[in-house]
Amino acid sequence: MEWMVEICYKPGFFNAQAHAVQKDIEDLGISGVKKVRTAQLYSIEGNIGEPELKLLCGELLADKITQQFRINRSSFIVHRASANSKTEGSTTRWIIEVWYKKGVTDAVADTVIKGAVDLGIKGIDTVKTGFKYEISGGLSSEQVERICRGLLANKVVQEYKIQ
Amino acid sequence: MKKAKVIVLRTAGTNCDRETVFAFQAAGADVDLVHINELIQGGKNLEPYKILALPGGFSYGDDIAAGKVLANELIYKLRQDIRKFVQSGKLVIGICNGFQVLVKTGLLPHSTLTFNDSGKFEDRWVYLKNVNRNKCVFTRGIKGIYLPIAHGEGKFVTDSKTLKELEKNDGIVFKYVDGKGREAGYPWNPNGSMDGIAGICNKEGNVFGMMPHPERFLSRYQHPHWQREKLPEEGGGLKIFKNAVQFAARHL
Repeated sequence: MEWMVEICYKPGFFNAQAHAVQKDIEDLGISGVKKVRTAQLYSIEGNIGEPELKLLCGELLADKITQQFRINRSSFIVHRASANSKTEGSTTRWIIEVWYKKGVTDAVADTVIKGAVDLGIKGIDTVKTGFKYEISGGLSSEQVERICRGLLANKVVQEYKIQ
Repeated sequence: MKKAKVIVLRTAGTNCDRETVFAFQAAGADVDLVHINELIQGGKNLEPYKILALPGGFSYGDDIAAGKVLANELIYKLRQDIRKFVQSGKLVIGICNGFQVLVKTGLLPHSTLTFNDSGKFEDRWVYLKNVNRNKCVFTRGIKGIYLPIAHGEGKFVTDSKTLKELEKNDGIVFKYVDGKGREAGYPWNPNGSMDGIAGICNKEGNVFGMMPHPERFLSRYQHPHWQREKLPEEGGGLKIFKNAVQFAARHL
């Protein structure tokens, strides 16, 4: 079974990381960004059912006070990845996912497996960690490419997908 | 008087363990530095110790969230031992990463430590005011203290209900203040903590966590102004360890 877990801040909690990314985009010389949202992604594969996954998310992956989690069957994300960016007026919402390239050691993923075993969850085969950024504003696709290459992804070890 | 026995717990990524051991030794304790696997595998146990210290560092690389994986390990692997230790009134201190671990185990009131508002790792000295009304065993006799911080995830967050309980139960210990002892915003409050809270204790007063590093200020020579100011030989941080060691020797 392959699952996709998304961890993001609950509404009302300040997301320092998103704030920093927004400022860094301005420092790149790109203006017009209205809002940045971030989420941590975990792709989890193995013999693990939804109740165990919920335990893992609630106990380990999400902070009980500031964060919330969403669990999807993996295929859902793949399907959405083919969708286009959404445009409302002059504001476009871009969704970017950043993942490690195949073969690159994912140290956080190894820690997730260790934490899961501590929790008594033993069926996980592989974990991959990624980041999701939602950037809203009047940006062109060239500008978004620049943001990804200059800021969000290290092309040596990471790859990015822009929706 | 018999020396109080202290256990300083280390694991992958702990990096303030030696200083913490030294601080407790300077305070007159008999200290063991123990890897968590020795406790889990049963080679050592918490029974002979009076004080448990969770030192600073980046346990398990701060992966997932700072302190989370070690907290998870403590709850799921050592739950009974830790609970017994705390319930018997023995002392627990968490410094920096140790504080992050303590809040995430639930041994301290319902709260968390998350990313600094600045989005940056903050590494400098801060002024603290002790607002505790004497519940916390570690900070008795301390009014104010100047200590270094070094953290990326030190913003104390809780809900309004817990905040009220903390105030009622005398659970708030240290607050970040400006040089004159008044509550103030950034940069005095380095991380955006709710109400400027830098350290809290449980309602029994025996479990205490703080973000700043008292073990890094044991001697006047560690103070950034030691040549410019007249300071006592003993650093302000040592009192916290002495308080704990003396309490343990007398009462535990």
